[in-house]
Amino acid sequence: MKVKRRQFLKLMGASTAMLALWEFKFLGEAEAVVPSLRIQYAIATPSICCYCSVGCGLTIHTDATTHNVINIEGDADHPINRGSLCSKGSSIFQLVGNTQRVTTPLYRAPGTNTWQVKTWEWTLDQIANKVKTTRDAYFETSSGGITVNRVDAIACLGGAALDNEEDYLLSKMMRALGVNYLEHQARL
Amino acid sequence: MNLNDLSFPKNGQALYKKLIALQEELKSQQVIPEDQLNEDMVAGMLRDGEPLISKMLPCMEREAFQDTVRRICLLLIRYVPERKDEIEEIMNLRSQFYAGLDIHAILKEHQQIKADLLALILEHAYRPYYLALAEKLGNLNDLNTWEKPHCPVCGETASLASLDELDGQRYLWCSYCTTGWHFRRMACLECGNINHEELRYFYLEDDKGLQVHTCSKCKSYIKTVRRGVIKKENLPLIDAQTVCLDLLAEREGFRR
Repeated sequence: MKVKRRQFLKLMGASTAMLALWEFKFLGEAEAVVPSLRIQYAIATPSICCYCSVGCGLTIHTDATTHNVINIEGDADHPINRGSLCSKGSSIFQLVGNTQRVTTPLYRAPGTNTWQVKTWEWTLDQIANKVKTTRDAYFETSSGGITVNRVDAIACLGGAALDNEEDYLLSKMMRALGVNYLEHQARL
Repeated sequence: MNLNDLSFPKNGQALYKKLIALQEELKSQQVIPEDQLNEDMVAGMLRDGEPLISKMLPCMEREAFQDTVRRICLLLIRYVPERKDEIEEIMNLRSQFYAGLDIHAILKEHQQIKADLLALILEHAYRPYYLALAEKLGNLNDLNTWEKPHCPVCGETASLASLDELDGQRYLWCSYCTTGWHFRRMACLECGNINHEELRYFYLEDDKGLQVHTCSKCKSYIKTVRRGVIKKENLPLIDAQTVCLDLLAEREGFRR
């Protein structure tokens, strides 16, 4: 059985430092200032860094009210990185909090050197059209007498900022299209 | 935000500093016998998860203990003169005091004595011994494998926690014997809950480094500061200076 100092003294309660505060009434000023102190609640959620295959643990701190991310740091309890992060992982907060991030699709037409801002609808239609045109033109059902059902004219490169679920969907869609050249930037 | 800005009265700070200085001075006079604390005993302590106090009672020489009580009482009278009579009453009884005495027997015999005041004075009188014990234990083992919510020396639940500025490691601190030890970051000290959704924390808007980590399952909390704030010998003062965090936690429905 664990023996505590207070059990030894046969008394239970606060720490000695706190006991003195109560006993000698040093609490008055602190009690007076407490109503003016503003506090914020936060939640620390464990996660995994998406940037490479090492799989370092992250702790993502979110505001408990707005659910906005307020800080990301290495997970101190994680057996791989024990709270440390590489220079890239250390900057992972910019995934959600980078004010310089491009937020609309940009299009550079062939033969030009300027970017045009486009809508998502226009951009997705363009991609879909090009995928269909390329796939229709280059889809192979068999090669050397073997059924292959593949399209080698399209390649897909996943990004490190994608999460597991997004990667799964991307992989599933590419396999359905017959794409073989399926890679990920995080394969360091 | 500086801890001095947290409205802990100057008179109280001065008393804490004097008490700490006195106890640090007396710490060097404590003798911890080799047969009471050695590497084998530490290995057993770590293996069993039992604090040192469960294996060894304080061995303080009777007259030295009584003199420590006297010096502590004199300090208290100087800084809390309005309690002079009550403190003197206890000081005058010191010939009956010795390390390991039954506090209830004293209280039964002298019913006019305030139990809390007597406990406070005796705790401060024992402190030099526990400081010496903690120092010796620190020299024998880095306590990296302790990983318990209670102090490996005196068995008390940690008074506060610190987060390392570089790698976020959490260390727990006992403000009584100034022992510090590593503890996992995302777990409740009280009930061991590791569900992060139930382990919210709050911080002061004026200083995000002053935090209170809570467990909504058992309603317990632990005050948390940056590692750089911790100066071992000043832990009782830091514990007292951050009392506004205790008051805020209490207001939010948590208990220590």
